[in-house]
Amino acid sequence: MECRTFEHLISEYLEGALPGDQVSAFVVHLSSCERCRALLEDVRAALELCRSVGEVEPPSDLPERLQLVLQGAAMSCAAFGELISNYFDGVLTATEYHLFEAHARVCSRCQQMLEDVAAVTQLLQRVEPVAVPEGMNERLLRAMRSAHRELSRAWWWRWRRRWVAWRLGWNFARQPLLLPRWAMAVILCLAMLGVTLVNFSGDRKGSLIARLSDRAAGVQAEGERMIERLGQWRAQVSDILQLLRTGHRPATSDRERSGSVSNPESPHSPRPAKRPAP
Amino acid sequence: MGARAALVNHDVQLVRRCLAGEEAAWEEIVRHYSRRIYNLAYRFTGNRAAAEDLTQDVFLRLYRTLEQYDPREGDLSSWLMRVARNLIIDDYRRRARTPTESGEDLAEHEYYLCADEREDPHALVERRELSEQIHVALAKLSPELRACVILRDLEGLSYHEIAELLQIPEGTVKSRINRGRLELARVLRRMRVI
Repeated sequence: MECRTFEHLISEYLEGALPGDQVSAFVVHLSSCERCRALLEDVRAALELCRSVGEVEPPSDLPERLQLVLQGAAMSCAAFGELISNYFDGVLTATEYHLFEAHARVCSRCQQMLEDVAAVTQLLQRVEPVAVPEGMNERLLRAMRSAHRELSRAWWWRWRRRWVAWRLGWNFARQPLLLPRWAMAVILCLAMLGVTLVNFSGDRKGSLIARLSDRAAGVQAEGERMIERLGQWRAQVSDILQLLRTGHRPATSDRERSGSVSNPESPHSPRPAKRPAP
Repeated sequence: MGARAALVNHDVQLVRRCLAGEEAAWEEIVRHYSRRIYNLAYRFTGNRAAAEDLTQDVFLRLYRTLEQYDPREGDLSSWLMRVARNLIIDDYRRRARTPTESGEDLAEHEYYLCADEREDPHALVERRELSEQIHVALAKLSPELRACVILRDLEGLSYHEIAELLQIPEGTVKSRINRGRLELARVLRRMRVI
């Protein structure tokens, strides 16, 4: 038997599975070849060592990690991709958020994608505006000037524009937007008036206010007199009506009483009621 | 409130002067808005010459439609940008339907950023290169994904605004932005930018 054949048969020999006719040839080679004997011993030792090794302790966080894997597997990569923008906008539901985070922890490709999208959104915010080409503003104004020339040839266009400009100013002036400013102005005016009145009354012993209240009292007295006179006239008118209807005058005492009843607030009637001549 | 009233007042006066045909007022509008509108056009066309043409179209249209501006609906700046965005998107849709002219000069042309004088030249070059690469990557996205990503991540519009502008449901906007970002990430990774 050659050494190479011997090496092929080592495993079967050690497991006792070598057919009987080959065993003798194997043993003959074993006794004659020093190298192969050493090899067989090494293999046997290794095998025994392997068999002697017991269970190893799994990492303590293995259950959690497995759970994460399972949770992560609950969301597909496609679903993850669809939720990326919502994730950055912060509008995921709580369930979605947990699944999303779990998936990102266990799927390195999606994790990478998430980081890329974050980088892209940041990059986009850093995009700078480009400068306008040399002379563009002048070219724009030229174009608008020629449009203006063309359009203003039509008289209605000019008038329409003027009308719109006027209407704009008018609408704007009526806008409630301006009200607070007017309100402020009105409040200021009232405040100034109040301050002036108070100063007047303080300086000149209320002369202005006193005059105003005198005037008010005068007006009130005049009003009372007018009411009284109105009552008397009413009495006279009903006298005349009575005269016309019945042909004779009612008793004066009755009329006097009814006249004074209509003016109970004026106990000192300044003038006696005039009677029509009989 | 006072600041806003002053702003609206300024806008109204500016528009009235423009409508009255005062050239200085138009100059003010061009000076203020040409850069923003040009940049928007550039992002969508990816081509400087086309961007300038588009900017000019936008301004001519603004010139004709300025009388439709209503100060009660918002300030002039957002009105102008809304009109500009609509026009640029219309143009973009038309070009997406007829993709014969693909004037992609992003890679070949020098990229002019508004340079700050005090800035470190290395940083400036780096910034230019980065912005250029991002524009190149954006140009590789499909038109509908690209529009959504530009409007959201470069223009900062809300989902709702984009949905109104593009006339598609908000859900579609969201999914397009998402797909666009993923695709952009892939492209940028292939380009070794990230």
